[in-house]
Amino acid sequence: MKKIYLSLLILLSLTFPSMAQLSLDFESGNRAIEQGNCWVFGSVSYSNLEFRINGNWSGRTNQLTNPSINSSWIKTPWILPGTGNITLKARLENSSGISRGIVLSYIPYDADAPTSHKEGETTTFASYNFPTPLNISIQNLTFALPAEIANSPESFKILISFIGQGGNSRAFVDDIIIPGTYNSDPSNSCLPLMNIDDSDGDGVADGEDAYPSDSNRAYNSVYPSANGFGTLAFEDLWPNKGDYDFNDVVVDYRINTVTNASNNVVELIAQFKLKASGAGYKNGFALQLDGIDTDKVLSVSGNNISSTSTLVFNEGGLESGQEFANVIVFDNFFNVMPKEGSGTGVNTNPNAPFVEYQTLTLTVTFINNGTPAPGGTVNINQLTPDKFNFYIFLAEQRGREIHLPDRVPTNLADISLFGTGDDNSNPAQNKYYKTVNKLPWAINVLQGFEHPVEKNAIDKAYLKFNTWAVSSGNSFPDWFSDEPGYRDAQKIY
Amino acid sequence: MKNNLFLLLAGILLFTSCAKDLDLPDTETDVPVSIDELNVSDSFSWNTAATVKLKIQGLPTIIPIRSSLKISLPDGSVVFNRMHLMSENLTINLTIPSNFNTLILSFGDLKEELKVNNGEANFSFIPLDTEE
Repeated sequence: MKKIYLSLLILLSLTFPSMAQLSLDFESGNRAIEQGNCWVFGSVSYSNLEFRINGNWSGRTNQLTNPSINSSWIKTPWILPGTGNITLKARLENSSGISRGIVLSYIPYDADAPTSHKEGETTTFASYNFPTPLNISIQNLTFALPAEIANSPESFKILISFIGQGGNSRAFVDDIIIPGTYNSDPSNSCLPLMNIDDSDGDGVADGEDAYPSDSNRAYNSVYPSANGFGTLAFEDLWPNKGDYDFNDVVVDYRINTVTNASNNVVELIAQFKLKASGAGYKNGFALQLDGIDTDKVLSVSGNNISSTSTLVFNEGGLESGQEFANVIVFDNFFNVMPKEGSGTGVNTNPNAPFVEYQTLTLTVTFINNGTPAPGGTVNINQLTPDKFNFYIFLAEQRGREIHLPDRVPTNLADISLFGTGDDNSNPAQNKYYKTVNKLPWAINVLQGFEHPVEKNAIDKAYLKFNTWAVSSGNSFPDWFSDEPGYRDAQKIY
Repeated sequence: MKNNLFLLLAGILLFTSCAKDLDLPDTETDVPVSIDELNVSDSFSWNTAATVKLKIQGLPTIIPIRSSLKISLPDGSVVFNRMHLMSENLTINLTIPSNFNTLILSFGDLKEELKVNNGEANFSFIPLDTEE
């Protein structure tokens, strides 16, 4: 017999697919969650008092002494009405009062309505009066959805109002079920859901899509800012201390992480503006993507590698011999910005000829025409700017890398140099590229800055630099600014 | 006489103490004059960045609601942008210029200014409970 019932149930479920419905059982215990889903409550709270109807929570009205439908009420989100009955459970808290009742109304969507809710005229279609004398028994109520809105393609709200006269009894309400399809958009002021304009069909609305005609790209996330460049400034005598003019390699940078509608990184478009090098060494400059395996990258383009370079690259253009993706931006600064005239370096001596800044725009490709690298995709949460590990290295001595303080060296770094000269790195403690006094060989100014003139230590050019440093960045966080008393302009290039 | 002397001494001490309080120390007087003499905190990172852990609390929604989640700096620069499911909890590690202490979060027509405090910012898609 049970088998017959089961077969009948399966047959019925196949014949009559489940009807869409909107329900409210209050069991979240948090009215704000329903408000977030576009339910609206007028003097109806959530209650777990003993008079609750079902489960742990029910809705509870205020004292029902007002015959107005706008006194105590619950309003649904926008729905596309179905057919059938609205059902709910209700009870009174006590028997005090002359009368108590429930009134049901519908509200159509009106695009021309002057209010932001775009609600049209309210039409009452059903009501119920609690039996008198009033009592606290639970009422299982059923109201037919009116024929004029059943199966309408337009959006409606249902207003459930609680009314009464005299006494002080409140009402409890629970298990509200309304035939219809939820059609509100909590991300758009709870207006009805709308079809979006999406020219490339990637699921991102044209208005939010940085590439509305390219289904393989959707978003730009720019570091440090779309409105400017950060500056990386290096000393290159590591492991020995230098003169702290931080102009041995000076590069401005801005990196755009391009992602698709699935939040996977399609490419990095990195702009590096070479500004100065007051170095005797030929320095290279690179970027390791910490934690990103080399097989996640398809290709690298736009870098500057000299024909005599001894660096080794894989097929895609990443440096070989590395666990994580290493992008060599250039292997010799002076190949990109040749020295002009005599003297050391480029753009560190005001008396020497100025060399135009050179910008290299690199593209690191992770997905090409929708096809990811063999190692799979990289989500944007895996490649946030804290994974950008910038460093310089000597062209003639690849293992002599110089990173920002406490950034890990690459696999090709010569670890025998740690702890020599003035370096006090301790790889076991993840301490790198700092002296005993915690001085660095590189700084990163996200707001950008102008580097010091040759042989002028940065604290002599920027007069608040030391205070900033000893305060751990709390005092004069704008030390690089052109504020009165902040600079010795003669010492800034 | 002894009492008067005691009161006089107490008064001198009191005013001496007050005078010292009013003479606030110059925060720069203790800073070495040369970078070579600096001794800074081991945790100091020598950059002008602020790292921000942005925690976003999702809203359990009736149907999946997806839209573009955009985190911007007050100057309008978009530092993080992705497709986001409104019901999803999300933590984002951001690195922003240290001169900004607010972020702008956008999702659909929601727009919220978030204060950064002690390297953290928080946002919830669950609204504040409001009475109509």
